[in-house]
Amino acid sequence: MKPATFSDETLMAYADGELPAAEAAAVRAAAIADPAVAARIELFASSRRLLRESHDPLLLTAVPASLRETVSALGRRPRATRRRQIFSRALAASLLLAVAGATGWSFIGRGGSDLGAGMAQLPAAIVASLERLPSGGAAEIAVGARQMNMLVLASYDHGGGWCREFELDAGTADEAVQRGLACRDGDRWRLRAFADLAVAPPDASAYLPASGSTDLAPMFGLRAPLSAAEERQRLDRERRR
Amino acid sequence: MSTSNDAQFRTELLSLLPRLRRYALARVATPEHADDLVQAACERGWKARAQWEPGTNLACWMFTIMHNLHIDEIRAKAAQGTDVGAEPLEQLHDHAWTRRLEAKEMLTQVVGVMQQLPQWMREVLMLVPVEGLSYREAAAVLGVPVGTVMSRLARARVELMRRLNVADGEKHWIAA
Repeated sequence: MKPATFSDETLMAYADGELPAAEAAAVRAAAIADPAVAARIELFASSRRLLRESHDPLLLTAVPASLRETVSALGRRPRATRRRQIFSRALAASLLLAVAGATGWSFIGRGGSDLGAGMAQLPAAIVASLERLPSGGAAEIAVGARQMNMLVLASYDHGGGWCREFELDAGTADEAVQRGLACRDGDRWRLRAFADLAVAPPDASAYLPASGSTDLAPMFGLRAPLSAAEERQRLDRERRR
Repeated sequence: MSTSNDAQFRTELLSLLPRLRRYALARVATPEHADDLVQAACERGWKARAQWEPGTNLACWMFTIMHNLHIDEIRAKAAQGTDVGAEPLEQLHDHAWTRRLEAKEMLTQVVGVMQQLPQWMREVLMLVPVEGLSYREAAAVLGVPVGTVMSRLARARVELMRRLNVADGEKHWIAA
């Protein structure tokens, strides 16, 4: 039997194990009878081995970090699922008062612009950073069992006391960055509002006290952010408390 | 799709990156272009992840996305009049295949020879022998009939071996 009896496609499919059993048996018989058929099959089998072995080492080349990071960040910020949050919607609901739905902010107090009745207790680690970090400053803090980054954005005067805007980022794929506004109320800091951010925060270095921050402060009737010098005075005062 | 499915999808995508890059490298000229293609495919795959059926071969699904993206890219560039580069086979006719390869190790030669083959050969060689897809799976990725995959694949393998200067039945190249 001559090789031409079977097409290259058929002999290849035999070598690749893709031929139905009956046809495969016929090819096998032909290969035994005719060395040329066997040689043609061997050509296809060898090409497969060669291709596979020659390309396997390519799998060991390092994936660029930027590509890996982009793929692991897929769905992260814009689609964060917000499973675990420092300030939960439940907190807002239980304390609450007013949720300004359209703005995305949850307000804690007797009304969106009322700074007088905040009740939310802030974790000690957050308070410590509020009393210590200048605007633009960041710190790694532990809240409960969890580590996260806290970034202070800006400071505002508030009837002789002050308020500070900040962000918390757990750095994981399934959590949104949260932004909050906290104000000193006598002996305590109270959380007045918080929101999930739909986008990643800019680099910490982008924040300057005088540059202010967001749409949040005006909702509370807070004016322009404190200057760096004013902010230093407030921080000194905190240290002496 | 639930959060845990999303996380699983992302994890599987990450583990596929080496294979996706390898396939992309066989399609485009530079590693940078390959990485761009992989990233674009991952982003498109992520958006369309609800259409992927868990339990089916994600690699095939991603190869298909990458294949279509690359074709879109070539068409867009052609529409802009950008030179997308001649097919490697056409280049080859100019350069002529004169160099003998015995100085290089066979496995290295195979990768080099692959780069000289036209795209329609490279893609079937990557999908079936290298990636281990079945003819049917490769046909789905390329959007062509199974018979077309088989005829392209047989011609590509014969051509590859011819360029490696390996005749029927010679066994000296078997590395395993």
